[in-house]
This record gives sequence, structure tokens and C-alpha cells, in this order.
Amino acid sequence: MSVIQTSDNSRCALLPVGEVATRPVVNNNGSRVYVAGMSMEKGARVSVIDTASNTIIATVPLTIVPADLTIHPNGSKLYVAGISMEGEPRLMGVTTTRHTVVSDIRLPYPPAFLAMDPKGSKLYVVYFDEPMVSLIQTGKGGLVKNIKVGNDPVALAFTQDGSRIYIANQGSGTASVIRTSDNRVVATVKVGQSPRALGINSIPKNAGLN
Amino acid sequence: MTVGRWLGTLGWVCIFLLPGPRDSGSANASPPSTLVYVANEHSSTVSIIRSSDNQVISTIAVEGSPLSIAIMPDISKLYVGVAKRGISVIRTSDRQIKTTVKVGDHPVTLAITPDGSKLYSLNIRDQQAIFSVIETRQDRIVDSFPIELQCSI
Repeated sequence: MSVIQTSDNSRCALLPVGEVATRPVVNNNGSRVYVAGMSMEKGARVSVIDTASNTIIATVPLTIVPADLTIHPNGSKLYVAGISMEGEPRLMGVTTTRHTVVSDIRLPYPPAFLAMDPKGSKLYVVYFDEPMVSLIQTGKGGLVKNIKVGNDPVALAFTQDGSRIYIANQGSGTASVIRTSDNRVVATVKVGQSPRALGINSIPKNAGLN
Repeated sequence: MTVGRWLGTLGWVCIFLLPGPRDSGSANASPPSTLVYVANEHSSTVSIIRSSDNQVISTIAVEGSPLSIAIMPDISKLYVGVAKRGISVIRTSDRQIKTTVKVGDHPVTLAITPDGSKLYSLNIRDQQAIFSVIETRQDRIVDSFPIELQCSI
């Protein structure tokens, strides 16, 4: 992972987080960045990066090949989705205080990416090759509901107030709209061919904090 | 702020901005109606969905396959990364393409600083990545350099 100093665009660090790695996430005060990665030599792990020194200060071993991770808005817990060595799709929870795995649940399909609602009560899992999004209740950590969307969902965005989720369905040429109060698809909007990126024109409440 | 894309064997390729000091201004305008911009790769268009009734209210043609989207914090401009073109700059007021910033031919991911002053773009082609820094006042490239995509353990 490259770290660039934005004041002078200098590259200030290149961190060994894995041969393949997920996107990074940052905690609520900006002190830590987390990224899940994997290499043949060091295996799968979450690297904990101290942003003051730009060094890896801890690693958390994982028993899954990570596909994506996200962080609770209060910074207390990470969620890492991936596939176990036995080929089973799983979602692992990692505490950021002790850097240990505290939950591990089975998912129905291989996960592609994760999205957490701005309040941190609901986690959505989007799958590869399945027209499905799963809702996970973060408190109890269980799978609550599978929501049918279009084919090949590739991008997801919350509205500013968190009341709606838009999902771009690359294979169907549509955008699914999920109402988060009851997690139902309230509209399926026909867009163009192969929608692949989404943007919402409202300023995020916590801009810069993911 | 994370803008990322899963690129198969390359894993996630993304630009990720750490939060800096907040700009407390620019919050006095009344909130606009929520619009959702969707980049349609194979029809070379950007659809605009009005969130209140989920109708497509406009379709903007771009000259090539749109790959990525970023919106200015003040909602004045929309940046669309277009394959083989660069970054198309669309004014949100009249939805016209204002200019195209030639950053390279595959801008897969874009990120804007919270104060809206800079746009970052990552171009990936044949396992090579070029990182470009664009100042958004005049929409011109101020810096550009290669980024390592090589494996690190």
C-alpha cells in the first residue's frame, strides 16, 4: 500500500500489507488505518497502521482469504468478508482494542464487498455472481435477510440521511433502491448498459471518514 | 473517503484520503434534492436519478466508457473517468461537459479532497498505475507519477 503526503505529493511509505489487499478503512479519529491482505509467505491478515508514523503496528491473523473489510462508525470493530481455506464464505468480526477475532459467521455466497449504514447498526454484504444483498445485524452478528437485487451488483451508495441504498446492477442495466427502514426494494430504475459506478450529490455527514 | 474498485487479480485499487482539518464553510446553502449519478460503461452515458421519486431525469452522453465518478463537495461539478478519454468535467447546473482532463486512458478510480480543492485519479493499464493530481479551480493536472502495483508481502 502506497502512502502519499498530499501537501507535496511525495510518496512517504510503501507498506507490506499483502500480495493482494482490500481497500483500507480508517477509524473515527483518523489515528488508525486497517487493511486486509494476503500473501503466500505471511498468510491472510489485517494490518493495523498507525497514521502518525505510517507503520504497521499490529497484524491480526485471518482464516479467510479477504475480499473486503469495513469498520463500525465508532471505530470499535472491523468486519472482514472472505472465503475460508475450505472454500466456505464467511464474515469475521475483529475488535480494534484487542485486535482479536470476536465473531465468525457463515455467508450464503462468496462475498464481493461490504457496506455499513452510517449509524453502524446494519451491515450489507454484496456477492459475486449472485443477484443478492444480505443484511447483517451488527449487534447480534447474525444474517437477518437476503434482499434480491439485479444481476452483478457492482456498486452501492447510501443517501446522506441513510434512508435509501442505491445499487448499480451491471448485468441488468438497472439500479435497485433499498429502503433501509424495512430493507425492501422500493424501486428498480432502468439506467444504461453496464452501470459500474455511482455517485450521490449530497455531502456525507462524516466526509473523509468513510 | 474511499473510492475503490475490485480489479480481479489486482485486488482492490483505490485512492483513500485520510481526513484532515474540516472546512466549516459552504454549509449555508439549502440542501439540494438528492440526485444519484450512475455511470453506464457500455452505453457511454451517465444517468441521473432523482431520489425523491426514483425517476431518471437526465442522461448525459460521454465520449467513451465511463468507469468512475466523483462529485465536488459543493456539488458544482461532476467528474467522470472515461476510458481512452480522461476525466470529463460536467457542470451540474446545466449538465454540460465543460472540459476533459487528459490523465491517461483508464481512470478507474477518483477521489476529491473534502475541501474540494484537489482531485486525485488513478489510471491503470497493463499492470501499471499512474497517479495524477488535478487542481479543481482550473481543472488542470499539477502532478503525475507512477504508483507501485507490484506485490508487497
